[in-house]
Amino acid sequence: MKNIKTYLIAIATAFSFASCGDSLLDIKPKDKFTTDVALSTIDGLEGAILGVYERGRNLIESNDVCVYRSCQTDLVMAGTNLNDQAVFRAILNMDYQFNGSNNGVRDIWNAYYIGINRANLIIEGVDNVKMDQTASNIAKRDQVLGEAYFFRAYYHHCLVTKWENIVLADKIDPAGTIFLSTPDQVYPLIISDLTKAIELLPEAVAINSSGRASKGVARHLLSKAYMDRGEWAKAAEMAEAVVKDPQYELLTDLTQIFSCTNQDNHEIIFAWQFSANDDGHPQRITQQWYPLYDRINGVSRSFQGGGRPWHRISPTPYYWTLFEPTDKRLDAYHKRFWTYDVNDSVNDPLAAGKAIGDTVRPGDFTASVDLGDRLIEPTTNKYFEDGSFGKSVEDAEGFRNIVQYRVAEAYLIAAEANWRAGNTSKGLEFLNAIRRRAGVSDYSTIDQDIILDESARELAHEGGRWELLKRMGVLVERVKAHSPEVGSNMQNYHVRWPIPRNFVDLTRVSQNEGYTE
Amino acid sequence: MKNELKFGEFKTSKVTKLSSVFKMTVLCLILSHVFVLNSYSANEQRIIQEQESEMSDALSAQNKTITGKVVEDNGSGLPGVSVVVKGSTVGTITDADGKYSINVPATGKELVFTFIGMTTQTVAIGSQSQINVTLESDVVSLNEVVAIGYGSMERNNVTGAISSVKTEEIMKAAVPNVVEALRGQVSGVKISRGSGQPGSGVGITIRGKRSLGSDDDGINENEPLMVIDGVPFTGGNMSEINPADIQSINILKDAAAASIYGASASNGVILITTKNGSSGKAAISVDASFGLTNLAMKPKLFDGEGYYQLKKNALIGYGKSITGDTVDFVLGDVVENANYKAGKEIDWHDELMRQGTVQNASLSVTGGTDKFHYYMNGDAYLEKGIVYHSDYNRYSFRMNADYTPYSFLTIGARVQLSKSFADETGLTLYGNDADFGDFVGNTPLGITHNEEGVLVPCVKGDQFQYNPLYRYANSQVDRTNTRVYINPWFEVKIVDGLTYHMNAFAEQRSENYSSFYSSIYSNSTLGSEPGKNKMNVKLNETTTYLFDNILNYRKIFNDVHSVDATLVYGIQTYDAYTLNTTGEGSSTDLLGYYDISGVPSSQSTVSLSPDQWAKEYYVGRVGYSFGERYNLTATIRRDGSSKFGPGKRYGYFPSIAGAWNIQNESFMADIPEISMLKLRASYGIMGNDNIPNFKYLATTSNSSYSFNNTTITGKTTDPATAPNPDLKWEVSNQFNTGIDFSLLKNRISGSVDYYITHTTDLLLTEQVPSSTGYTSVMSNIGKTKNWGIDANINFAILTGDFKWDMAVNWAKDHNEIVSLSRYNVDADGNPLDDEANGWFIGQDIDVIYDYKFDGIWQLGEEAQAAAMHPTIKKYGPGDAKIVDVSGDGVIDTKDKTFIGSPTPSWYSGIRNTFEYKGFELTVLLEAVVGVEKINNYYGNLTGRDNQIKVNYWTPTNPSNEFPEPNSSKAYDFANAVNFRDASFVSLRNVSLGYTLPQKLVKKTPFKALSLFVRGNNLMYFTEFKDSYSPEIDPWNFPITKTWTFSAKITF
Repeated sequence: MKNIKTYLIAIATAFSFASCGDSLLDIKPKDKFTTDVALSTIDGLEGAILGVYERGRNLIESNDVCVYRSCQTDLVMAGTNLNDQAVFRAILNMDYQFNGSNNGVRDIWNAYYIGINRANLIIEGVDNVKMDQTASNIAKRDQVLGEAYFFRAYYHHCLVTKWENIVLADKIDPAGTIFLSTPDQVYPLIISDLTKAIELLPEAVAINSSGRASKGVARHLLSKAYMDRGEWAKAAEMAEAVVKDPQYELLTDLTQIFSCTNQDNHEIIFAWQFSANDDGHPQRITQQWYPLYDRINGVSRSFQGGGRPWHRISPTPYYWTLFEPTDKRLDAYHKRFWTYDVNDSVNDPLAAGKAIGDTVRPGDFTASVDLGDRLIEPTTNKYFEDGSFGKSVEDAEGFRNIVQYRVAEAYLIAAEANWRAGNTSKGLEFLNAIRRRAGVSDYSTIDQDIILDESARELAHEGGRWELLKRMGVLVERVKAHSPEVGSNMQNYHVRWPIPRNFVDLTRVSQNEGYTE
Repeated sequence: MKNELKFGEFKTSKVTKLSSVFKMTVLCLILSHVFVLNSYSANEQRIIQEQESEMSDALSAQNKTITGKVVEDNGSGLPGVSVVVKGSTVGTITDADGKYSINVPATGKELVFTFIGMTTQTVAIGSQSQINVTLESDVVSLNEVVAIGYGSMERNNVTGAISSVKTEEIMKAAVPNVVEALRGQVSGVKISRGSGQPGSGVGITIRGKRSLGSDDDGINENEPLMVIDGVPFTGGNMSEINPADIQSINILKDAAAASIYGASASNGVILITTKNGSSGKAAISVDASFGLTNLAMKPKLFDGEGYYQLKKNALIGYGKSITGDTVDFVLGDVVENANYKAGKEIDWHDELMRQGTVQNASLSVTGGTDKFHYYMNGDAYLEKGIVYHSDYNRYSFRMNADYTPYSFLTIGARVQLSKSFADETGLTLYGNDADFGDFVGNTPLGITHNEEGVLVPCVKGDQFQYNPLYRYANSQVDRTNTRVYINPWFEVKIVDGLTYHMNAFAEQRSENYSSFYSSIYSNSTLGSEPGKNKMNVKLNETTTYLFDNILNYRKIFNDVHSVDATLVYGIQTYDAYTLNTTGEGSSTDLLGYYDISGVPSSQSTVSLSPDQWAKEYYVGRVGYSFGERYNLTATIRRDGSSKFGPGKRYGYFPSIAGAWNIQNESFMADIPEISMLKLRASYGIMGNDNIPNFKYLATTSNSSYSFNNTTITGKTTDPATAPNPDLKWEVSNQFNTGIDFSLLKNRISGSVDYYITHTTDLLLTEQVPSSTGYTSVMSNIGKTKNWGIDANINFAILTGDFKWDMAVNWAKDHNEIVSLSRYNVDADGNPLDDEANGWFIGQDIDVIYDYKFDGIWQLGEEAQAAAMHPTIKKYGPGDAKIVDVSGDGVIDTKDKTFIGSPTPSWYSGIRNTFEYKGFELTVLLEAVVGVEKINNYYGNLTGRDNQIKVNYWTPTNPSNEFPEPNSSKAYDFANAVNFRDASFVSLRNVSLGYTLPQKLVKKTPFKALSLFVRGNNLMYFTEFKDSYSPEIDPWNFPITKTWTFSAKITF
């Protein structure tokens, strides 16, 4: 018995002084890389660049902000169904909730900076990548680096046009002082990044996807940056380079540009890409535009009608006045008419005197809710999506690509840049190329209103209008003149967006003039 | 052809089948153990008796018989008192009249009389042959042993603020969760139930909040550490522990007591000790109860007519002029229109709720010899929730036993198995937690079935007015939890006063969560493709090990210097992984989620999420006591945690505390009215490491992008997880001072404590400027200050035949933010508010900063209203009037002000216990006062959904309570309008018990029989009526009240 006690004491002593030390506590996650490991290989770089693309696409996945680029212009007004959408409504109407506390404003700002940081990690980490210096590896590395430069410029461009006073994030500097830079300080970075991107990126023709950044999209953005800076000749040169790029052409069949079955056509320079294979990332733009047509008795919800309609945003009456009746774009780019297509005696009875196939006319239906003719308000069809990608007619989400830049815009930039540089006749060539395709007569001269009107007819609702009006200094007057409801809220200071409230709180930078919150 | 088999008909049996198999197994286990133990203990008993009789034969010449009577202080005989010869196994029990007779060996010097609830008395035998004893009721157990972490201590010597709760008080609350049973019972401990879901956890804070963290990432940074038999609880739900297994609960409230748990202690520590057997014959008890649960509070909703009027007024409020038939104009929906005209309406509470029931049955066996003790319990708790498909069934089995083979060695083990089966179908909406909005928002003019008697997906032609019954019928959500642990220990007495104790622990917990949505379940919101079913099987496994080495030295020198020293070295590890599979589009609905293997591979996903942490710690504690008057305790813990990066892992947590037992001073001998008076003071440092793992590292997350419809994936930075290599635990410095007292022979006793805590390095997900590329980082930021008072006083108001005890506890805690993040400072370094997060320097952590409601603008006040709200169109009569705090004539953000806080001004519990001839009635009231909240149950008065019935404004009803309905927009300044006082007094528990007198019990086969009626959560007295309880978190499972009827039979 004595022995047992001795043994026990010995064991106890051993246990008491046993120490596992730091090895026990030094635990690393099993399912995650640390960032430095992730960026140490060429495969890692190629994966990391997806995170840079993804931030730009991310905004299109959000119900609140997906169409923000189309808002606050002379071409749009509120739809009929915005009551419970405070964030969206504020961005669209610039009502009293359009301020730094608006979560949509914050999300947009944040997305761009997160994208920029991810690009910076690649730009700064690229020299540490361990790889064999084969031609194929070098090409891969250069492409990723070119993409990183392109997106760093793209995101800065988005920021500087909307906010003007922004943080210049040209390196990773988490501890550094945060201060705002002016456009004069930001544009040089945008231009130099794009110049590097043009060198590093492959030609568009080699890329085989309008979703991948190419020399073409970098040139296109650079032409826009030069326009912003008033460097007309350089802008013209870049825009013409895009127009002449053999990868791009103006499609003669206008209906093919935004077709669901021809998404990778030669009109498109860059599009945000979606896929039903990646169904956690749907686009949410389509339903924002279509009026609540399916509330009319005898009209069912259908792909042809526009799918599930939310009617958050709508073209202004002014917009429709811009078109000549013969303009091919009226039918190609728009959903203008609905037809009776169902007769369900209980749920969806056809009105007396109507037959299936008849076009729904204003005033010939009674709306269950007092929306009147706005139930058949014509709208853009540029975001049309059918069942091609697995979307059902009830789905609020879809998987079509969302066009960001197309070559028609390059034509219009080339037109304006040449005209402003003093070469009106050359400008007219580009302008009239667009006119002829639409089946309308040539212009013989150019002025700012002609550029604005043609741009509206060709590019409306695609997202560039706000920046164009702002660049020309006519944003406020145009909105007030042509979108009265929005215009009545619009103040001169709205040409700059409010810096997110929490960013101001965290950094003590100055809020843009005019915003109190 | 129509498929005759329907999913709904198939699915029901699963939970019940599995659980009944399990039930059988547990019962078999229990019965076999009962049998074995009983025969063993009977055997032991026989051996003892034989030994005794041998002894008595040998020593008969020197033995003597002592007789006597044990009475209560009112003079009545006390049956069942244990009478034992000190230092021997010889003992007996008093009879029905309190009389006893005991044969005392010559070596016996003293008799010990013990009875639960009475002060133990030890009487020297001397030459007496008759010893009569009066036992006094034990109002405060002065010499009870208190668990203090890695050891125990007599209450006398305790220097920290420790509250104890006995098992009897826990059992009086008819709830399955031991933490919930503490509600209202302990000063400074605030417990609330934010959800009435069967089996759900409860929220608990000790001495209020110190941390700013929310439970966004699933971790409540203000929750105390739970320690069961020396083992910190590592997650899961306390509902998995059977309250009947618990012997005592000790709550370490101040730093002196809690800092022994170092980096995890700053929110206090709850020490739970499970039951063990005591020497004596096997006591077999059966507890059985049956209860009914119902809504605790039912908010009033608009009925069909009220809803119709609301819709009508909302259209008018929008500015519509009603044309044609008013009903047709207002009720455009075909279903609503028809029902309204036919006078048909639905009360959704009736439709969607049922009578809930709880059943509990347990069988326990406990007993032992002087060398062997055992406690065993098998328990089944079955709850049928008040919402359909919300059942929770828990089965648990526990065995605690110890054996002393040699005088210097005791070995023991605690074993537990618990298993719960929950049907969560009724709580789940499209894969998320159901928000129970249907109960309030669904139209009273809707339908559940169409004319053919078939369930409809939506109750009217609005796709957002879901029919919950349809969801229940077409989905199945099950959660199964298994917790198994073994907790072996041994203790060696090395030399006199020095013991080594080893506590080892290994636990495996698995949680299986499976869900299935049939192919006709509405698809667009669920995100699956049309006509495809969708399923998810998730298995989470966690393994915890703990290994503690405890050396204790306890010795009294020269009768006056008492030393109690403890050294601990220990480690704890936690290892978890979650395997999650999802799929959609299997070929049949009939197999539910078991058909996940039948899903096409392109439609299934698998993910694996591992998680891990480890801790290593060294603890030292020295207690010194001089002459039972002056007590001093010093502790220090060195804690290492894997949650922090290299160089930041280890920290020290010291504390020091002193206590003065004034009643033991000689000058107090002349004051018999004061039986105890003790002053305490302590200071210590505690930590908080309650954050997710790996937050110090820069880790990547997956991202995907598609090019030409080909999806590729990569690793990228996560905006919400900026790395922070400097991350360390939060530190709380706490000073506590208190007084314990007992007056007039313990007729009045209690304690009062005051504390102040300064918490620094707050662990918080800090917002960072997104231009850094991140939006947030886990960080040590800011400071808070927290102070309060907690007090409890017990009164023995009446003694004698009719006994009345009253226990009152009262607490106030106050917290405020002292400083915030590095970003929240001005140019001179002074702290600034963080308005975006709702944090303000000098204010309560949860303060509500918003506009202040001042009634409704009335007709005739058009001009003023419009002038005050220049940016809101058509603001006028019927809209909310807001107090112009800034006085500038315009309502804007400058008019936001501190309108209240959900932190109570004070909270209190009052427990009255009345006893008369075997009857015992306990009534517990809880008061929480000075709580303010925004009641999110109020609707938006657009008329789109039904809502809480409120007195809204119309041109003919100049209400000042709620604005005018408006079909096009929710009313402005909703927070201001919906701000309410949520103070309440609650009738928390009522327990009426009757214990059959021994005279009657003798005629039965039982040893004891008690019957109880118990109620929990019976009534709220509150102004916060438009809700399921003033404590509920909005849209959670409604809060219930319970009545149970139970019997406890001991064989």
